[in-house]
Amino acid sequence: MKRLISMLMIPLVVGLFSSISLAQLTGRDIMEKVSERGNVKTEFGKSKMTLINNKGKIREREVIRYQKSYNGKDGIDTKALIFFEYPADIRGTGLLLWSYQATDKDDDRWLYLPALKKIRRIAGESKNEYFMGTDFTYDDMGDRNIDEDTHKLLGREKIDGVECYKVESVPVGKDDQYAKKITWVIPEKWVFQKVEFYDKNGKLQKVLTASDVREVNGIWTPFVLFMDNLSKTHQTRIEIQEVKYNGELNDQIFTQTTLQRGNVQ
Amino acid sequence: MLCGIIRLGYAEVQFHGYVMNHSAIRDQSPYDALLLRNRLRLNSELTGDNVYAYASVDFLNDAVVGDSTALNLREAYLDVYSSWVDFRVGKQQVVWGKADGYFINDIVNPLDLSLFLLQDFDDIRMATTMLNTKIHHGNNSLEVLVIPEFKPMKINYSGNWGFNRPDSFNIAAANLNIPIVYNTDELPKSSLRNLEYGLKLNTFLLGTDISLIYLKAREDKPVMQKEIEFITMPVVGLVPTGVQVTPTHPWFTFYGLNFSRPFGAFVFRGEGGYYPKRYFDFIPPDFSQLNSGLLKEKPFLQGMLGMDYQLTSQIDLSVQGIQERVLDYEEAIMTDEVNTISSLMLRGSFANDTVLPLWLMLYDITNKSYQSRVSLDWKYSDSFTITVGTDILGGDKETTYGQFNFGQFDKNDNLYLKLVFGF
Repeated sequence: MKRLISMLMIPLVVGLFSSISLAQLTGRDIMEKVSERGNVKTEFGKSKMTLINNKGKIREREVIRYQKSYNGKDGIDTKALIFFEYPADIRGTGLLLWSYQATDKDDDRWLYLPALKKIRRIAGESKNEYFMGTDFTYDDMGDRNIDEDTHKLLGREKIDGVECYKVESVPVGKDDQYAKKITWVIPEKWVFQKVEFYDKNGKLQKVLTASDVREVNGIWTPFVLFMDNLSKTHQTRIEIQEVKYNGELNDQIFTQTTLQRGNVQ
Repeated sequence: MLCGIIRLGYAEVQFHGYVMNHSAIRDQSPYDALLLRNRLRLNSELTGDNVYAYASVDFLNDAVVGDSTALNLREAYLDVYSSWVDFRVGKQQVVWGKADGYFINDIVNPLDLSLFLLQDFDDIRMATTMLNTKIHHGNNSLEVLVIPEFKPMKINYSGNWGFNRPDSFNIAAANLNIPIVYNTDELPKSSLRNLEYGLKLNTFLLGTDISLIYLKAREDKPVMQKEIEFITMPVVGLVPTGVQVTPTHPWFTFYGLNFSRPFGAFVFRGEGGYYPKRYFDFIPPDFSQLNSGLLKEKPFLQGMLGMDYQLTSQIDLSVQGIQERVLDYEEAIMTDEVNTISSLMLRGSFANDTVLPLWLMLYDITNKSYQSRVSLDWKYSDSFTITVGTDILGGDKETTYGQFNFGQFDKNDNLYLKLVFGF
């Protein structure tokens, strides 16, 4: 009986302590924890994107992504390389992204188009452009620096039966595409359950939900992301097929040579 | 997904491609077909550890161009790569330029202009056999090309897309009213002495991509050597009786550079090229220079400045200004001393990249000729794309010199339709 009590008590006490410390968290603290959860040294992932239009018609994309964190080495925050594997008409299309720690420095971006056999520079400022027909903008896909927004904890709220922190994030810069974002974050896992994106008129523009959260190499990872673009009546579902954290990724992967070659050494 | 995947031990073989119908109809009398082409393209890829092989084959049937049912090996190469050096050997395309729709640095592969610009650029550029070595470190690299195969530019002087013959203009302008005999193309033989080679140094400096280029190669576009035949007449002396025109492919040396750099919402691009010696048709001022082949050697300079800008999240704008200049110019040279071309491209992307309109305008300011292309791609599904478009060409019909001479195809305004089923 004592053993049963202790078994029940330990989580209760831990929960009590953690709820006391968590109660003191600010909106920024919470978003920092979300950001830190994603702070892995390297990431490799394969995913399937399903694009659904207002008539229910489906298009698919298969994507491979490599990412490496540089933690400010030479001013670089992260480098990422993305290749499209499917469908045939965009197969081989690649995107190389270098994002910097300085919030006032635009990302460097290169796009390789196999039909032209040419690498094109993309303006780093074009963050608001939708990524390859999906409902995710380049900014949604990249690592947004936490200080590009001010964060305010609005309280706690249950989403699909899960108690979450509700945080409002307002961009510091005026050129941002969204007026604000509201994020519901699952405590302990520090994974968002839902994000609402509001446009400049304060109208709800997009809703992103995460599900099928699994622990991979000690990191909680949503395996399904669903973006409902209300303004375009279009939806994108991203299903992670394979993900690996903190494996060995050579720096040479994140170069124009690999982007053009299309194969990772 | 219809494309096939076969696993062979550590390697994986994939097959994909498309079936395409491409039709173009002249939009003025006689309203005939300029192109009725069916194509099956089959691409295969083999991927292994640090090894990759690619082959692309076209089965083509063209109902307008005679006897053109053909099997064409477009590209076939093998990649072997490591963390510091890549090798690509085989039939391949190498793109060195930054310009859209114009070829200044992008001169490694010869062009197929048999349908002028009606084909996709991927088809206009013809793959050649070469060894391409790239030594790389970060975003810096050195490319070394060794090209044993010479392939001339594919160009017609008759038919719907027949170019004006500059040599006939040249001979007529020289007031030589004599019979012309056209000889066959003098193609260089494959030998060590005829190896073409090139170097390209790429670097990323202060946020700018910069490339320096050196190329030693032969002219893909034939240089027309004109040999005048004489007889000696009493009293008047030497009298020209005929001319032999022979397409030749002399060596050239090329120095180039290009760059691209974003500034805020803009991306600036540029490229330049310098030939210490190129051959230009000229009108000899007197008989003593008739044995020059009616050609003059002069240095030649080309440059392009371009800018890309995202007008809205769905519309991109690109503008380019291009100038070519014959240095140490002489009035007797038939090419203009300066040739200026501008281009404008508006590209849209609507309905989540399923509706893609395009307007591309190339305007030759010097010769007042132009090509305007308006097209719309509709991606009906992942595997089926419909493209409708129109090309309007105009300007001086007598235009002969310059890279494209749009005016000579003034009668070829057309409407086109492409149906592509990918697999």
